[in-house]
Amino acid sequence: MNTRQSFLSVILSVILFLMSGCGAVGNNTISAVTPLPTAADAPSVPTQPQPMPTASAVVAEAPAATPAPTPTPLDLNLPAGSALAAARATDIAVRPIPRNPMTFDAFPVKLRFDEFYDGYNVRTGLILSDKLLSLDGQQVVIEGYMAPPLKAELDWFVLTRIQLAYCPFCSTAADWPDDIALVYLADSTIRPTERPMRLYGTLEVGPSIDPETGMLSLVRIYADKLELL
Amino acid sequence: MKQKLSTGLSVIARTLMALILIMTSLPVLPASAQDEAPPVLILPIDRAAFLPGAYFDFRVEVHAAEMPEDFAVTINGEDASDFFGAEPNEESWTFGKEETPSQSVIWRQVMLPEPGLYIVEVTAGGATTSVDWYARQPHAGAGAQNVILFIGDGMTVPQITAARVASRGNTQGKTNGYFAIDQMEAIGLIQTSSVDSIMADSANTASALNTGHKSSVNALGVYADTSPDTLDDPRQETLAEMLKRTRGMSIGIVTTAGWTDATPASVFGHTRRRGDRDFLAAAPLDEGLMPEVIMGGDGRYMLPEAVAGGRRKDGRNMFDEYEAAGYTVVTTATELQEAMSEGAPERLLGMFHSGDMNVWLDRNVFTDNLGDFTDQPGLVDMTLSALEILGQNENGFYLMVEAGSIDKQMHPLDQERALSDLIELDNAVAAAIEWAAVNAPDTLIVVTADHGHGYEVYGTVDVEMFNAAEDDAGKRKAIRVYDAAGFPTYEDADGDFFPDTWDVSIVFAGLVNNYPDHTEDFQVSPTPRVPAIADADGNYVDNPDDDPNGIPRSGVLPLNASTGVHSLQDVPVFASGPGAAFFGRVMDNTEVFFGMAAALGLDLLAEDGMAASMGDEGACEGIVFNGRCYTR
Repeated sequence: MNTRQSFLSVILSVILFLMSGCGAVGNNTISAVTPLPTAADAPSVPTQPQPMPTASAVVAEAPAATPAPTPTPLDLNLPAGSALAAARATDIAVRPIPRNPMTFDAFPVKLRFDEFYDGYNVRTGLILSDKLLSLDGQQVVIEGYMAPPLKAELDWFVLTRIQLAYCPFCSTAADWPDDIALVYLADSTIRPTERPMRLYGTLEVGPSIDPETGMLSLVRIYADKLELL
Repeated sequence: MKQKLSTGLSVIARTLMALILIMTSLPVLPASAQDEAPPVLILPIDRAAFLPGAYFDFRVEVHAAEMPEDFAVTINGEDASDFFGAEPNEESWTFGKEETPSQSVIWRQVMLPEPGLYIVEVTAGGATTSVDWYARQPHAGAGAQNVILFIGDGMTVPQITAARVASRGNTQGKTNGYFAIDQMEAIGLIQTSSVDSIMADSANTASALNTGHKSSVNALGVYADTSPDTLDDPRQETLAEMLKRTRGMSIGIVTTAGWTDATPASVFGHTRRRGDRDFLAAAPLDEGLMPEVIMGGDGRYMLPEAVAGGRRKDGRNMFDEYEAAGYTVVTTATELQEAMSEGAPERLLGMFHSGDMNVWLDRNVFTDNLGDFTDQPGLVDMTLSALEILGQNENGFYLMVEAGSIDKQMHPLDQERALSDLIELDNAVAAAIEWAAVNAPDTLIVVTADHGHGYEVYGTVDVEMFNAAEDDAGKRKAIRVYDAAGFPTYEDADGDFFPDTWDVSIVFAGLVNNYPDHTEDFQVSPTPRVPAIADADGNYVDNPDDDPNGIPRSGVLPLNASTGVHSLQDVPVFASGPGAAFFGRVMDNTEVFFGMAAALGLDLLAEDGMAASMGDEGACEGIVFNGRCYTR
């Protein structure tokens, strides 16, 4: 697939997928976190192990240079869980480097949305904070809201700082806010909820295209535990 | 649009038939004929007016599973392909929930060769549908070499009145001063309705000012067809494109909104969906208009989404591309000043915010609201910088300047932020008049609005009494009307024409005429207002954090409306300079385009120019009085 086609399909798939969920607001039944079917329909995308934090906080080693993003295969009918694997694989090549690496005494580290960025440069975009970059690959805990339901049962969703009570793509001029994170649930799904939530999981920073929807994310959380507040 | 059976059965008044344009409606035909005669859509619409030589796309749609065998398109009786000397593209698609099939032909980039009436007839399934187009006699011109079009987004006469009282003050009923726009040579009113609705948005209305053609809500630079592709709709050439193409004039776009927002994008854009921001940010380069000046916000649509804060899905970095194309790129007021002090650059791209620029009140008073964008230029500085750059071209220039946040602040019912931006617009108009008087007296200056936004002052409020009241009844006693209203206590001691503070003892009792559930305290908000928030069902309800001390107002809008909406009213048009007289009347918004063209003596088919006259659609069918036609 050439670049133009792939971007077209990215745009198309995002619009189709998100529009199909628009207007479904109101289903606030909260289900227990339920396990996904396991390995039988395993993802065809290679999975890379994530570095687990050790007791003495060690900042992830930065690569010597920043290579281009790894192209991610796009498929609208991936088996559940394989989007997660593909997203993990994508980031390996693009891990950003903190300017002033920070170390942490204990994990998980509490991270707030207003700590994501250190300002905006019109010419180069948002400036990723040292804290965010230093936590790449580390265990974090973060609180936020699930963006409006994109479908009835989810193994991934968009976490936002404030409650987005509308579908960002339902209005032509609307857009996602900058302070969002894509959340992948490890072996479970969740029903849409409007309650605030607390998430524990591994943080990942750097551009990655979700292979199921084509949505590009800059911050992802591979959640181990989710608490509704 | 008129449709009749080819057997000669007469049908339907022209005005009713214009409704056929809406995709859901069917032509009214005898039941027996409806089966064989499918609905037909002809774009441009009936009564469309043109300058001879102006480019447009001509689309015909037949809503049938297959194109009828008798399908034919003629213009003044001649086969359309012979008339234009080109074959159309054939396209088909389905649209709407019913998946209605559409068979279409489209001629791209055609023109009408000379002034006159053009009758377009489309035969399909035994019926003939027709529309009339008028190509106008070019006007000899009024001596204008340059045009500046100021657009106060959503600006209305009641807003101007309120802003004048706050800015200039009023003593014993007489104003203590006039705005620059108040003193212009001519004032008219324009009606703003859309092809698909009596209501309008900035896209189709700003487009009408720039193209002389109507459009549909959310569409700009095109007539909306029924195809799902938002970029294939039949195009209307914009004034900027005509002036660059035929005269080599310079083009400038200045706005306090994002520059890919509907109003500024109407100078150059062609899309069914104003939300096609990626496309619009690249269009001036990709399609070759290359405006000499672009200033405003919307940096996010210049950056690929792989960059944090970027929004482009095509991976392009438009900052780099504009720079490579010869643009000087600046991102702060300081950089703008530096670039101008080194001698006006040939092309300037000034991008001062990731989204819409901040409003005057936040740029100058509540600066905590600026976030990372603490060094943004004001509209006066942007306008004068643009004029300095554009004035270098001896072929002349067309500059569009938008005060985008009058409307953007009327939406959340924020009277102080909206009125401050209106005052800033007037200061920019005053600066432009002063610049033109010295540098280019052959400049036509037009000030208008794209559409209305119904705000009005009906009295004053005693703030101390309002805030001390223990209940709503007590608060309402603090609202003073008629003689009790007296005068507000806004004051401009420093002479910048803005009230030194909006936080005074007697303020406007001013309201927008439509709103969601909210509370209103009539007082300036330190942070931009968010009057309503969505509940669990997505319905908008009062935001408890906005004006918590206010009077509750029960919404008069659909529950999914988060803010107030545009209103139906004619909006004012002011003009000074050569050709100003073209604007002193009540007219359609498309006439603003023809007025600017007439002032310039724009004749697209003749270099040495005659040009477009005003409203000469055939002979007068009413009473002629002092050279003017009056009809009923």
